Amino acid sequence: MMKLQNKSITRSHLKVGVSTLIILLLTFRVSYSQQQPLNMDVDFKSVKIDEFVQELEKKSGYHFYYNQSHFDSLRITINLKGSTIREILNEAFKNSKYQYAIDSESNIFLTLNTKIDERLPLSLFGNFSDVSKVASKSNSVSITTLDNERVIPKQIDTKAEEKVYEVGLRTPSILPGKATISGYLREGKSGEPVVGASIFIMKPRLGVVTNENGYYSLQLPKGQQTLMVRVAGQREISRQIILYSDGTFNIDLKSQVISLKEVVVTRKSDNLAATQMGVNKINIQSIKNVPTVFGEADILKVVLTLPGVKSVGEASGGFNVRGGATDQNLILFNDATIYNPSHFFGFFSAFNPDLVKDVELYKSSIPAKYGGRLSSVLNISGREGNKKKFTGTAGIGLLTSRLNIEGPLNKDKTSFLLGGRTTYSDLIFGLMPKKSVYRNSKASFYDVNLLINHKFNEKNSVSLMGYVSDDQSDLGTDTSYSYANQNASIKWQHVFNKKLNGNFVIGYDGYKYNTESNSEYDTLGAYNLGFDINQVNFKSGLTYYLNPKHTVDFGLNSIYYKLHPGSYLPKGRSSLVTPDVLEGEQALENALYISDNYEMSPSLSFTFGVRYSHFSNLGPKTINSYAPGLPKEENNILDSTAYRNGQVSKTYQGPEIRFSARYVVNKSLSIKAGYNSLRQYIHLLSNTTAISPTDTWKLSDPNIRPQQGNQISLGLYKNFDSNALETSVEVYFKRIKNYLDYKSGAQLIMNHTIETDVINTQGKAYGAEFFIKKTAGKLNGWASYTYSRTFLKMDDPNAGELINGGEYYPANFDKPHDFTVIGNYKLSHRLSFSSNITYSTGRPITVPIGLFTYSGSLRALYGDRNSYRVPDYFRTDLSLNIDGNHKVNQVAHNSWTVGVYNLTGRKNPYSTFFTSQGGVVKGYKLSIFGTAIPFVNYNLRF
Amino acid sequence: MLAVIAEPEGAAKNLFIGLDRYYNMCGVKYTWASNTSSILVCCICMWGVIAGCRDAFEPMINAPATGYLVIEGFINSSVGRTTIQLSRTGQFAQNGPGPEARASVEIIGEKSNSYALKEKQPGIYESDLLNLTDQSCRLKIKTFDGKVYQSDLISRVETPEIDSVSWRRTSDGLRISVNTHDDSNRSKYYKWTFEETWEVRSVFTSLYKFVTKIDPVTKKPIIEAVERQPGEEKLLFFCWKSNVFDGLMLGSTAKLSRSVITQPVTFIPAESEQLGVLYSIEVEQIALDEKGYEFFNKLKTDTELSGSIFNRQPTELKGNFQCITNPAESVIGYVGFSSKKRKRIFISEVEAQWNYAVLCEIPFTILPVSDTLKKYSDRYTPLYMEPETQTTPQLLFVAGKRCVDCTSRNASNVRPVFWPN
Repeated sequence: MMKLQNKSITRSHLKVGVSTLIILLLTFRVSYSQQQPLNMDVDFKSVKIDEFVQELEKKSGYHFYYNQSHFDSLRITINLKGSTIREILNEAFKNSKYQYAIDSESNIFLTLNTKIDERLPLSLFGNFSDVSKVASKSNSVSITTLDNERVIPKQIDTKAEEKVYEVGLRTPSILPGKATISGYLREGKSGEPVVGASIFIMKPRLGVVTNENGYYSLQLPKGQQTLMVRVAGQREISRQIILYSDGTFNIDLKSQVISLKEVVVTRKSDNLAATQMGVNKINIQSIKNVPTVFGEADILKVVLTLPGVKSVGEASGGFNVRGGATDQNLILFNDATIYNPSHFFGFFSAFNPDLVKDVELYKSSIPAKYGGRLSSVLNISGREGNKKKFTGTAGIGLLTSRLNIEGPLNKDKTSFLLGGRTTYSDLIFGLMPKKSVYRNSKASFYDVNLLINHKFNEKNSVSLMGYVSDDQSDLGTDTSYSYANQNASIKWQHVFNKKLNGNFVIGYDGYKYNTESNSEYDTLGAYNLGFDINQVNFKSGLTYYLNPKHTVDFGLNSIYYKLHPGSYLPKGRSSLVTPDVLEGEQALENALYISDNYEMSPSLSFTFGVRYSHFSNLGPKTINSYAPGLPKEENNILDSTAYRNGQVSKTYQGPEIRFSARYVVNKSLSIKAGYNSLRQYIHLLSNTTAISPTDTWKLSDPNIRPQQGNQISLGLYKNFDSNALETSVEVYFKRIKNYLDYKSGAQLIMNHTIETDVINTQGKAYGAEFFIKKTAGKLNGWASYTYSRTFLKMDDPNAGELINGGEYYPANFDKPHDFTVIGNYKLSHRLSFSSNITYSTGRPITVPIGLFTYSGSLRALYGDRNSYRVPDYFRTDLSLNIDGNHKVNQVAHNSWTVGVYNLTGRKNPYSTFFTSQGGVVKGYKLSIFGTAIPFVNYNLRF
Repeated sequence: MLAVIAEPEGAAKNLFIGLDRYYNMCGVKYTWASNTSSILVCCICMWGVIAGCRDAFEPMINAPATGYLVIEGFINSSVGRTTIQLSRTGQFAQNGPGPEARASVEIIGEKSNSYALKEKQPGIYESDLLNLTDQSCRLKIKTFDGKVYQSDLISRVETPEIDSVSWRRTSDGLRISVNTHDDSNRSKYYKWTFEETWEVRSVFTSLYKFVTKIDPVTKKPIIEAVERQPGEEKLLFFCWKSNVFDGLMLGSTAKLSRSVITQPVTFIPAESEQLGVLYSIEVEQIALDEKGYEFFNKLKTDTELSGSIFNRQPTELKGNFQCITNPAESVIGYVGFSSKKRKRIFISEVEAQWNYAVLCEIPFTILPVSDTLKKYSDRYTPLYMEPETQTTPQLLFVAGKRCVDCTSRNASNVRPVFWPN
């Protein structure tokens, strides 16, 4: 209940409907209220309604409700002394169509044309959520709330908003000058930090964004302030403070009872105000609303719907950002680097959606704290465990099930979050007909996450993270494939003082695969092939709030790599396989960075960052040197040098520039520009179009140079309808140097001289991305159109043979036109429809240009690389989300998702191949999902 | 047929095959070498949930005429003839490239001794019986249009004898493998082909046949059943079918400590006709050098195994030839200096514990009058004549053609020379 007598200056909007079917939108204000009638002196000269109302509210204590748009043209000029409120209003609206009504609770309603009956029930405005249809007795006016959630902040915590908090040491009077307010923004229910929320005051416009721990620090003028908090995908909330001196102020957001999830994509909370560009942030609610093939929310598949992100097809594990290769994305999950982000070769992403809070994709302005990959950073933030009580979620799908539990280990201090996901596909294979070759197939995967957070005090907290994912499969062949990610880290968050805080992370990231032959016919050649990559990281990141205009981030990142590039070992006693183990690789990568976010003026801001990266390849390792000017071939080896343990064989280093600027033209329009350069010292060796489970990673060494990229981009951002509709256009141009491609027939596995099979390739990419997003209303979602091109060129004179004669050719994922619509329509609070529509140009392929006869069969003669395209891609998915009832006190909340993937059943070609069969060449196109695929998923929260 | 290749890349390849099979699990068992057509096979696959599809795809390519020279064959390192085939690459849309006729082909030994090959048929060039003693040689080709092509220096590779061709009965069929080894450890790369032959037999013996005659009275054609010549019935009863492997089967022992290899050659599914009576397979083995193996492996990858989600880019096919007159011109082909070794085995129905039956209608009788015979002559063959009795007239036993005449089953009644008994 919101009592209007309470002292409060909450601003809200309320929609009312009038039975005459005229819908009046009223803005409502509440201020100091005094019951006794007042005689006031007023003097207005051609003022707008806002000023008029403000003045009267201050003087009288009445609260005004009105729809601002109806009063746009009104200018009020009156000069009265000792008048009552009615006299003033009569005079002000004399000879106009404006009407007013005053109720017994000192509320004043201003309307156009229609007068509201003053005898309306009081309760009407006492409690918004209870308001439904109320008919008045005498007049023909009734008021109905149509859509109160649009109006009232969802997470409104009225008591907190009304209360005035005192921050700092109280002084008898407010001293002039500024003071720093800092603290944490957290979810009230679970105690989780809220990341990336804007905390600001309106006048003067000063603000800051909470960091990954939910921490903020802001220097403000002392005195009474209204601190506004804007969280991605939610409306603003406010806190009244009186700032006496430097002090701590933690804000708890009150969680709402289950509400219908909205599709909300937010560009770093405020697409206009942030200096960065090319950033997409998606919260898990949005991800969960996008229909996916098996009905389970899939982070990577949703990332693919963002402008500028592409993949070669539905079954590919990787994604390509603005023309970058799949190995040029830094995928971070709670600060841990994930080398293989997918299960079952790309059909599922390796992240349990119930444990993820949000996902940020940086594709243009990559903050200086990130580095090591050229194209993008995909930062997946996990949730924290609930610090107040034990809860959990469970989901049952056609192929996977998941269970997560969380709760306090020590109330308000320590929490844990444990989640797991697994398949039961082995079981399904077993149920298949006896004759099926797949009956004996095996395919399974699981992943487990554990997160423990402990808060020592306001200044120190520690979190422990563990993540394991594992895939096993034999695909009905006599070879079994397995791969696994393993990550663990410990993170310490420390607040040094009001202005300086930092994060320190030590972690281990690992990825390995293993392939074994199980053939009973070929025991002589039975083998076991393995690869692994391990890295130990140290990351420190500090933020210094120098003054309201400057926020400085700086830190040091170090990674020690240890790779086992391959081992090929006999399996079983009868195997004759000669054990072959490639020499390990070691390297140390260090990077120092500093960046300054400078708010030059409210309209102009810059972020200038430099990251200096330094990479050393270390022994023990024997490295070949090749005759200069000749192709790197085994017969051109001049010498080979054996480096001792820890000895540096080669160092690469250089600065990386991260610059972006923003100019706010007006309240709804801003322009941004950015320049980024990046370096990458680790490369994925893959000559398949999609990431395959036998792809390995390789470190830069004296023969393999680091990849380098730079990008220049420009963006225009315009919001309409008070930010309910966000639009943007971004254009970019990018160059890539020393991208790795391979010679014809290159052997990438177990190659002792891999440098003889790789060719340095140059790339260029450019494009324009158009994005429109509707954040509010029953229908919401986003649409994007991207025009982009990516070309590669292999013009290394020492490469020997050149692909397409050394000319530019389109990359595998060059799909010039790409159009995506994600929409969500709420039928009611329990029922919503989601849909996903995607169109793109078909990807380039290499096709035969001729035929020849060899070994008894006609065979295909291939032409230039990627000179042809598969037919265009088009897909529509639809899902219906049904929530169980929303009663707060029930033990468990459940929901269903049912839908159809690829509704039109279009056979979108994934790849083509030409194979010699029965003496002739036959061309085929392979589509992965050739029909409409229905799915159902059941979710439970307890 | 799928080959298990004993090298790491084999791991990746197997995976490619495996996944392809997932996407094409069509309710029916899908076999790799199936001839089933370009008809779209669409199916519920992988866990019965993912539907994958394989459709015929014919790109509308506006390709330039290529016409590259294609060279195929082996220089025979043992006593014998060397056969080299020359052809040209053709347009994709058109059917088939043509042979390259009227070229001059010669083998040049390391001591500059040269042996010319003669054109036996258009595009097929054969040497005299030779016994080359050189350790290495070259092949030189001058085409009719005056261009000169020459191979790199080709070293002699000795092909070891095939140790054995073995077979193993499994519940779902019979698997045949070839086993070979090289004690000298010099031969590490192999290529195999095979030809299989099997006997098919009719179910019933036909002693009579239909003949069309002109009725001397009515001057109209009539059909009669007449007795066959002795021995003629055998031509309908015993037949043979054969199949030449037209794929690339490769193996390597490079990763093994000893050059020993067991290569699965083919798999005969249970209840197949091939082992209905007697089956024979001759496996031919040829040793390759490393470059030759790479060439054929690349050819195999690009033209036989490319359908999967982990598509590998087709790559440039470089053999061991160059155009001397125009170094930029593409030439396709790899010619080795080696010899072929062969081994044949027979497997009988009894040994294989095979179970194969042709389903036949029981023979029935018809009246041997022209009008009746005319009705049956298309689809039936006469077996024998039941003589007239006191109670019944003369009756002719007939049976379905397929069960009587084995040549109607796409088989030949010419007995192969190597066929026993």
